[in-house]
Amino acid sequence: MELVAVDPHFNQITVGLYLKGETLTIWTFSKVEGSDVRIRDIRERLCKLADIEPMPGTNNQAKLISANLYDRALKFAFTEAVEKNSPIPEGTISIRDTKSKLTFTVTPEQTDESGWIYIVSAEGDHERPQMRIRAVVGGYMRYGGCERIDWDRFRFKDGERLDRFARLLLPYARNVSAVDDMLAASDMAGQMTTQTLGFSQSM
Amino acid sequence: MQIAKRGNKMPSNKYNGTLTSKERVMRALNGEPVDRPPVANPTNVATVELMDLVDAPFPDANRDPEMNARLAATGYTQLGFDAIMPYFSIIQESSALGCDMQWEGKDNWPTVRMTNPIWKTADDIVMPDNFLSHPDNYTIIESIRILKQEFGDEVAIIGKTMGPWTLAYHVFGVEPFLLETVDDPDNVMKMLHKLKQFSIAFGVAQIEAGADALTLPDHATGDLVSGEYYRRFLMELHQELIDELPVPLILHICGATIDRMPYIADTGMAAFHFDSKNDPAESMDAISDGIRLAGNINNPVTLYSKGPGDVRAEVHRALDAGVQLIAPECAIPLKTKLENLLEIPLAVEDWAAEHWDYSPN
Repeated sequence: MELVAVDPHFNQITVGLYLKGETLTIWTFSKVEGSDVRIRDIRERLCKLADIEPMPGTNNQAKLISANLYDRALKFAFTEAVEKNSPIPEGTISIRDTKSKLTFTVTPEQTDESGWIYIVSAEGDHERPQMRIRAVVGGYMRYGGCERIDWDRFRFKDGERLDRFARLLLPYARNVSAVDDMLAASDMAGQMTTQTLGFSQSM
Repeated sequence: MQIAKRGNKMPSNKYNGTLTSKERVMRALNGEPVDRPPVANPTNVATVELMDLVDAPFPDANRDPEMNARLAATGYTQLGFDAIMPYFSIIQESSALGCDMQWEGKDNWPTVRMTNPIWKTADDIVMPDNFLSHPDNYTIIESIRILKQEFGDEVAIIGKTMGPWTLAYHVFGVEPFLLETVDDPDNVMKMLHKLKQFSIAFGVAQIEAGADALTLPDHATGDLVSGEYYRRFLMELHQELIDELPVPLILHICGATIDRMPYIADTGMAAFHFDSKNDPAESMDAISDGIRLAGNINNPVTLYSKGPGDVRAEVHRALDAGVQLIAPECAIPLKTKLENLLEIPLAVEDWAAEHWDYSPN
């Protein structure tokens, strides 16, 4: 599913996330001493970032909780599990906006007709906070495959409750254009083209 | 001569599953019958995962002969390709010439900082005393020796020497060099002829070390210069290299190149390594049996982001068109999925079993 070329926290090893059936496997070809421990740590972190569970009796596997596959969200979670080592926040799902002075909060709510929905609200100084909230909901649709229920609310497929994914995706959902640029740049890294070689940089 | 013709099933032949990888590649390059089309990469197939597997990461694997050989060998030992390519990038000679280098890390390509060129005129072009012994050139030469010792005649070892056009970009800068082609074409010819000495010296050293064939990347690419430019500035010069480098030569040019393929087919080179921007069937028509084609599996979309099924379909499309040597179109992205690379030889074998009565050993 995803490959992180360089683990900045352990000997620059390459770590991959593979999916077979409902089983996720975290793998490295590196034989550097301690790689197995590092893989276990990544698995633990991944299971806190994403709505997945550790596979009992293994150090490098996890299983999907949902019958639905949240491909992009899992990729974000895996990259974060490898590249970041800051504490994973708990409690209220909340974050500062990067484009305004607003702070967004995402709140799960169970409904009869739509299952679990998530309501995006904002606090702070802004002329039209609705516009930014609408954009955040759009971000969840883009990266989480979510369905828009209203201008300020969305739900995951089948109305599932997936709070870890909701928390994980919020930083990405608030700034889709920047995230898309980041993903495009990431895809270009390691590609040999006339552009990356500089042959077409100035003509 | 028994080269696959587009649209025709190849006849069975006595070589069914009997050739070594090297024999397969060399026969294909010479236009002789083969048991199945070789998977022969004229450019890099190393990935970050393979770097971990043999503990030979970039950038060190570009600068240490033993690491280089270990990583290069994985193309044969792990991926099952019929060739080994130890020159992963395009910058070794330019580093030896003193260009300003950016070596990058494990997950990116080393490059020349062409905004800071080292030379301005043809008179500046001088062969350094240590050109071949410079560590970055020595790495490739010594790696080929190691690989030859390790694998003998089991697998084709393909060296690489950069053509004068690419070297010109590196030492003069892309923009100054291309502007000079407009302002003073005669001077450009003088530059290219002087730069040719580096292509020859490095190529000969690799042949003496054991290279069975050489790739000659010369980036007169489709997005920068026209087919007419190729004819005017490079065609004869490439013809001259045939005599100077006595092994099969594989010309590599990126981009849309159908407009120059008829000229390339007249150079006398053994094969042209071509980009997926060129339709394989149209490309076969353009070369009119004048040269073999190698390629043209797409890198950024198919190998990088799609799955084995898409890879297989693209391999079969190239084979159906008559492409004689199957390979990624250029140096593969360093994060390419291994399952996609492993699919290439499998797809070739299955195609050959269906069309050529091929059976693996």
